[in-house]
Amino acid sequence: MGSFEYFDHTADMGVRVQGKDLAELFTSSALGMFSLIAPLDQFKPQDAVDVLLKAENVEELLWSWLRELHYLFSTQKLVFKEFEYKELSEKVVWATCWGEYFDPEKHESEREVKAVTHHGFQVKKEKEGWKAEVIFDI
Amino acid sequence: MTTATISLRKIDECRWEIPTDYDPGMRVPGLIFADEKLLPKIRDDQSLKQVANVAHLPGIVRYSLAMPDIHWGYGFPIGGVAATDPDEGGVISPGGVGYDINCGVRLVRTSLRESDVKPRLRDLVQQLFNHIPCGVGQSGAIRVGCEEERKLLVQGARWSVNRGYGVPDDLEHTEAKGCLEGADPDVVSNRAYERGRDQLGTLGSGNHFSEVQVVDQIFDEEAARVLGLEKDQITIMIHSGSRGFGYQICDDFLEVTRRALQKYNITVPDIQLACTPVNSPEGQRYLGAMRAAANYAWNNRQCLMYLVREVFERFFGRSWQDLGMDLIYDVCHNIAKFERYKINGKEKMLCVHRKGATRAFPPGHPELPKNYQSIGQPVIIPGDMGRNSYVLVGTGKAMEETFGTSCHGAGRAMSRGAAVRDARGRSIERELEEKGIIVIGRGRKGVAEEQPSAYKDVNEVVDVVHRAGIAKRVARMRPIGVIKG
Repeated sequence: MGSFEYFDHTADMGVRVQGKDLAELFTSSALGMFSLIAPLDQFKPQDAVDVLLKAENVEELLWSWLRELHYLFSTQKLVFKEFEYKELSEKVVWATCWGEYFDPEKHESEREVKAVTHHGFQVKKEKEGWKAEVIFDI
Repeated sequence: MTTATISLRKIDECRWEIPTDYDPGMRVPGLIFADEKLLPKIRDDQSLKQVANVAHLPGIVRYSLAMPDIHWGYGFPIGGVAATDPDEGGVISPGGVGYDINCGVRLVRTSLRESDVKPRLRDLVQQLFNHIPCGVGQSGAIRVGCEEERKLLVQGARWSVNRGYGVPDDLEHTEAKGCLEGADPDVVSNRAYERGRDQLGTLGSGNHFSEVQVVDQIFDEEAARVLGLEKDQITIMIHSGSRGFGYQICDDFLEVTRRALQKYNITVPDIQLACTPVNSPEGQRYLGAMRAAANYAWNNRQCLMYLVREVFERFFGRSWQDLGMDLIYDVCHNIAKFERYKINGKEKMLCVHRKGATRAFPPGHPELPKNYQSIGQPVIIPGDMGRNSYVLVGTGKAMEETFGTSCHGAGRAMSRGAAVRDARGRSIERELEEKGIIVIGRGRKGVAEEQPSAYKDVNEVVDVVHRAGIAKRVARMRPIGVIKG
């Protein structure tokens, strides 16, 4: 299992992620973002959307991935919590994303995420796996 | 990381310069408005470095400026101001406007006194909270189809007024009359349209709020009289912006400008300062989209004010006109605009970026409404939910020194994480209630993250602005009821 933790940024929120492989990195990054929006234990993995993205390198790919999931939340109010990867490399991600529609009458929320920023964005491959840092505009 | 290593040259009690020899890439010096009291907090984050970074922008004129509420942002610091000269290769930077394009505040007066509201205050705040969509995933009551969305992007707040969500006098008292000319709906992405469709008349979350306030001090009797403000009067403040529509446009064009850097042979010290010449196709497209987002935001605040007026009408059983709920003024604090200034004796049309900064035009300026010509433009400064907010007016000095700009708020002093840790084991709501302030928030951590001590003291920020002469104090309000997303 990968993991994520938050770090401080004056007006916004940073997420530090690690995973032993790309799947853990991508999943933990997404969970880090959605946990900023709402407590995830309230959602069931009952609705699915397929996401297919290509990029020139792993930094661009992870950034596009978070941007895409954030867009799906912003327009369709889907909160994702489980991910099945059909294909995943440093240049391609093809995943089925499972989650539930956010209902303000039923679900508790934390805060709105305005955007995934490039500020301090980094992805690193180390001996024990992958690490990334992302700052979200709140 | 701190910027304690940046040595500042003291000009006077309120002005500090970052000389160009700090960093060889700086084209102009940095100028920070702050006093000895505020500086240590400013040095805590990377915002001074960001002031120096902004000074790298091609075509920047005179200074990279920072207001006393400066704090760490993306590329530009929040509280940063920069003007570029398009004739000299001057650039436009989406990061110099920010994600929340035309985030701003409006202040509404009432004929009510504190005693009219106090006995039923909790009920009133609850009704505002129930009626005004706020927080995560809330749709607005005013939904628009694609054709209507395109119209409102071009027409600005007039669109809302034409549909009955306000009166022409509201437009008269909105910066730029609630509409930037030159909005181009054709350069707006489908994603921005989608994100904007159901968010008109929604407050959002983060630092956005709607607040019931009491005027607690008058500093300038004459200006206050012109603005219709008196001690003990109830006012309402609304703080919101262009919502998902604007965030998406910023996101889209950060990408466009990032990719265009090489094409125009521009190097920036921070990728979030990505920019493109004003006179380039990319620059013109961003301007068209940014103006559309600015116009979206003015419609949003206009619709939010309409919802507030509805709540008050029902609550007091009187029309909003009878309750004296006129708009005092609406200012934006994240925007880029073209304005004329004298540079080296020559009048130039400059592209002024205000990122967390408020326009502060002086008396007699042609852009001001007729009834404010004698006092200058109202500058509305929200503070935090426990202390104060202010109304100031613009000055001639701001025109000379800061491209007609002043501060925009208190500025954060504590990160969101630190604020939540600080609030652990406490109830911020109860603490505020003991001070006579009712706060209702939707998000679980919203109130803790936005607690008063997370912000600098707005009184200190406004004090610097007033002493520096780049805006003049008129009145101070204190909050009694707050709704947060």
